[in-house]
Amino acid sequence: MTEGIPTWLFYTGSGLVMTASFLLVALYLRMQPAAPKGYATFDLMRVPWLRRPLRSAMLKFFVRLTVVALFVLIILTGLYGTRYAGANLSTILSWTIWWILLVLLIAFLGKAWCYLCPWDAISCWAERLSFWKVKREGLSLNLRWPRRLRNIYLAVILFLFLTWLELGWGVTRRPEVTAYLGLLILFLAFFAAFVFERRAFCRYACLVGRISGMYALFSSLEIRARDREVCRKGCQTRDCLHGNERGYPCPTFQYLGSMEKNTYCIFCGECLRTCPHDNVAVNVRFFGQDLVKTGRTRFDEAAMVIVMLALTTFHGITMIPQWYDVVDGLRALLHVAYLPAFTIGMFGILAALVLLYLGFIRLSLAVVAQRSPGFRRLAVKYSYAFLPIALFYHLAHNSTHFSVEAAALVPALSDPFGWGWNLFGTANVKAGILVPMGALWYLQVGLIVVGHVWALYVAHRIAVQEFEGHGSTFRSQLPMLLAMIAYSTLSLWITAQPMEMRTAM
Amino acid sequence: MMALWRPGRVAVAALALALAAGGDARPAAAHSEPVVARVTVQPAEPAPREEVRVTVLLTGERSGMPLLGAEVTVAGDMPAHKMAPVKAALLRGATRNEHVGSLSFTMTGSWEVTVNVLHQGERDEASFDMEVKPSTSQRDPGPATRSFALKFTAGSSSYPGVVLIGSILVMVVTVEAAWFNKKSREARRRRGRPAGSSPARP
Repeated sequence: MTEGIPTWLFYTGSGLVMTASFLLVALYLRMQPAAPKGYATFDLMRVPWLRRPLRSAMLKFFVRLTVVALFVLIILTGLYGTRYAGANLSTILSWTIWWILLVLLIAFLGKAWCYLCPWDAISCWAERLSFWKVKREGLSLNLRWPRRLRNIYLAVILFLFLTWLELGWGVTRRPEVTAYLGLLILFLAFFAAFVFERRAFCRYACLVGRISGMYALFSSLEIRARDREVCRKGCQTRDCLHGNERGYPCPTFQYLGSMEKNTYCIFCGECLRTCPHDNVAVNVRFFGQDLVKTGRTRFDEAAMVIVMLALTTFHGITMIPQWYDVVDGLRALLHVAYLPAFTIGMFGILAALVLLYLGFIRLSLAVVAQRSPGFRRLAVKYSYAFLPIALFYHLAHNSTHFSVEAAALVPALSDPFGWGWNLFGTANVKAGILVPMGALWYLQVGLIVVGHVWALYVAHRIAVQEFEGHGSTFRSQLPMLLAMIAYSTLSLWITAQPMEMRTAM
Repeated sequence: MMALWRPGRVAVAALALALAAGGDARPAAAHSEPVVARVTVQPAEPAPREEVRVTVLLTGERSGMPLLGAEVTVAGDMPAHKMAPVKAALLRGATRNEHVGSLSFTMTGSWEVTVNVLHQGERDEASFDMEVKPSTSQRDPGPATRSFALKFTAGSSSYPGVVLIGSILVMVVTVEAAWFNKKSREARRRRGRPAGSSPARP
């Protein structure tokens, strides 16, 4: 068990959330709504020493080869190593290092994980029979992805399934199941690559890609056309979409002339190679720019965001002692075993959080006198405002995990299988906490408050776009403000509870 | 890479690779074997109030593979005297499967020492007798080691080789099938070409 934040800090954090909320509301009352402006960027492709590596397919191959080697090590240690998760490299590397740092990576580098992805790397190499050279024809049957599945619901279902496996079935404590899960995702990517055109699995079904796609709306890195007019008027061939002798077509069917968000870009770098007009930029920007744009929003994306928000909270809830009381209560009430009780509890909490969100949307419409944009549209639009809350709570939650558990990597590197090896002389190093708990508490509270403020800002931008008139814009935000305060306070309360670690160290 | 890729040849190479990776380099028993607790006490015959150092090493019976993540407690009891037992929770020792701590017996006589091991929610214990002698008598300074078989098993998943071989083979067969499919498509395309035209580029 890890100590939660002290009570006084919980109250301070809640106070900060309230104060920030009312200060922002007061500010919005004084301000006249204005359309979002463009934002400043710095193009990394303009840096001479970065330009070549960013475009290099060979460098990408070698980077991916390293990650594939680690993936193979995870599979081998998972299958052959000790069953004790706290000393097996597969569980430590997968759940304590990768899964935790992934969110941080997305926040700063967007879809950088997709550039490294070992599942996609193995599938690509096998399907193309090429490591970096461009081949116009691979081995795939190139069937079109089924029309009914051209959305990200499959990824949402896979995400729910993974969370159920992780928390209910305890994958994080079972090295062999971690290896099976790694192989399962590999098979899904592999067969999709051989059956469907391009990287349809990455575009529609990959849970990691779609989660990171939604979080990457917040990230500080983007790939975009430098000048969209060049794409629309000056480019006849659309090589970014169709490919040419220098690179493959966009694996996720993106056209730079219209791409305005990070969601479906997988940072593969093919457009950097194919563009005949040298019109592709890798921009460093300020965080959260995609969230305040007036771009297209989708129902399936909104479903993913709400599920991410609910599952992130649920993740925290399952690690506090009160959760065991809930499961025991359900078991006694329904006379069922642990796993059915867990499943009922999980879907019950998810349903409650989703219904609560929809209730606040209904309230938001009810307080506006003018013609409303419609329940469905507003539910979709406002869901994006909750992304910063989910992301920052995720970061706060993961910071404890990483600080408490990551040091286990040091002995595991020397003894990856837990067979008693001591390759680097660190096998018997005792794992300690990386960051003092005191500092960690402030970090957690700070992250939750920042996420809350950001969410309020995004909600304000959405309200400005959706409602006419200062009064309606302001009133429509009030229920959302309440929802966000409730959610952030719940996040703070969870961090104030003692937390059980995932790999049983 | 295409030059290396020949149907059949790759399948044989992959099968050999899979067998090499999936086949067991370690003794077969190492996948799943009983765990043994090696309990060392020093001195072997202590005096009352003397500190007795207890070391418990948990390993696989045949391979010596460490059992990691266990929690170990020891307790000394004199059931005949109906007195409160002396207890100690052992801490991690020099290695991750070594647990060390100390006990202090309160009176002379025959004590029953119980080693209790908790591993992944399961509990097992082993007991042995220990003689506590007066400090003035002739005593064995030790150390003395006893081994006990526990109900736990140390090892990895049940059929790692099968999973690994199966995975590699399934992927190789997929690539092979796709390769044959591509070749037959190309052949059909070539047959459909008018005479004298140049063959299709690979």
